[in-house]
Amino acid sequence: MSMITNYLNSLETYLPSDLKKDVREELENSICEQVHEKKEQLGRELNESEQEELLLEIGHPSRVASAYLPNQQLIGVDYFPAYKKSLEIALTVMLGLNLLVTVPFIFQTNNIIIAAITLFWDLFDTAIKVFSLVTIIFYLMQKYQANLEQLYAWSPKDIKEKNPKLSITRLDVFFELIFQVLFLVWWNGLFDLPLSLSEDSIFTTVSFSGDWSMVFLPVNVIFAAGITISIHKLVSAGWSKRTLIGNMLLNFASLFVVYQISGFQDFVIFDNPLLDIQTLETLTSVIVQTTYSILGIIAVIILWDTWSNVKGLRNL
Amino acid sequence: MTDSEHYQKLKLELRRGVLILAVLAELDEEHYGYSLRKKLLSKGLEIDESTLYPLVRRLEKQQLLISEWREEDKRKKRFYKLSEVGESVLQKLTADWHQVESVLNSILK
Repeated sequence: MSMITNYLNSLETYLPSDLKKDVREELENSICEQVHEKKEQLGRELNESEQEELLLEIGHPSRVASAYLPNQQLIGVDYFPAYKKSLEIALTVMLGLNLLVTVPFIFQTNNIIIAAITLFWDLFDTAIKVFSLVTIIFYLMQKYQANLEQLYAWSPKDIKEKNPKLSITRLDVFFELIFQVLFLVWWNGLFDLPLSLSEDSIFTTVSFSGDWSMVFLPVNVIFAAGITISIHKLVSAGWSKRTLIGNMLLNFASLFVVYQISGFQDFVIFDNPLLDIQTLETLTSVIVQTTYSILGIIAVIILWDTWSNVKGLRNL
Repeated sequence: MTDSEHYQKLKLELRRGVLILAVLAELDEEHYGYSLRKKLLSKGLEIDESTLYPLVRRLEKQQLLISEWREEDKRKKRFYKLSEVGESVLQKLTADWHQVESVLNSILK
């Protein structure tokens, strides 16, 4: 019978002290009766595998014990909608604040990779803390049966008109926001070059030409405005007429900047005097072609985004 | 999820509410856990111990059942029986069940 005793001992460990004795006795009696009945049927004691079969039928001690306990969900169905909404709002606000506080410090660093990792870690850390805190609050509200009527107090008049075609998921906007912030960090560290390049035994250093300083400020302004629009989208989980028009204006400004860049005399400057003219021309040609290709792709993306905005405005 | 898994899940949901009614109805006569399980099984309703025992406790906590520990065949057993509240609730639930049954029968025709 040691297997049955072990089973009951294990079951007890999953139960609160006020239930241990009662539940154990009740289940022990039930198991003993079943053993007794089988013993009479077989005319002998139950062997180990027969006892094992019986216990397997009853179930894992933790699952049996959990059936006796109330509240088997961290956040139950009644509280979950309010919990989810609170979590979304808290994450949006806290991550937005975290971004605003962290970005100025990141601009001061020279290493873009370390800056990106720091930013990601800060956001992740904040998200975990917010998630834990909101979950604990709702768990306690549920445990002490906080009034649900107040939690879901509403009026049909409060529900704003919203075009489903213009709604977007917060996750998409969040990734867009991360991209914009990372780009700004990169852009502001961009002028810390020279950058080392090595190809086919040629080693050289390149710097961005002075022409780039012309677009330094406009790009910062465009992306800062883009981040503002993204935060607005993150909060409202959708486009509005104002954000659509704002985004279109930013797209036009971006296209103008792309056009300006395409007119630069030089994109980069080679700082290595040891390069011969032929190598220099080859490298320059590769860089020019690559830059034009990238600018072309960016222009297409901007045009596509603008077209999406126009379609959005039509849906309003 | 396969058809069979869907079926099993829905069957469980369907049984969940019915079990309470069956347990209450069977406990107009006094039973301890295992004897109640055997009685239900003899009438064609199979129910696990890990479902039945917590269920009767929950019903007792809701004051639909009363219980007492007694010794029988040299073993201490917990006997359950319908309380007065339980009897009145059972009557109402039985009436509801008949109504649901007739409505469903007309729908399922």
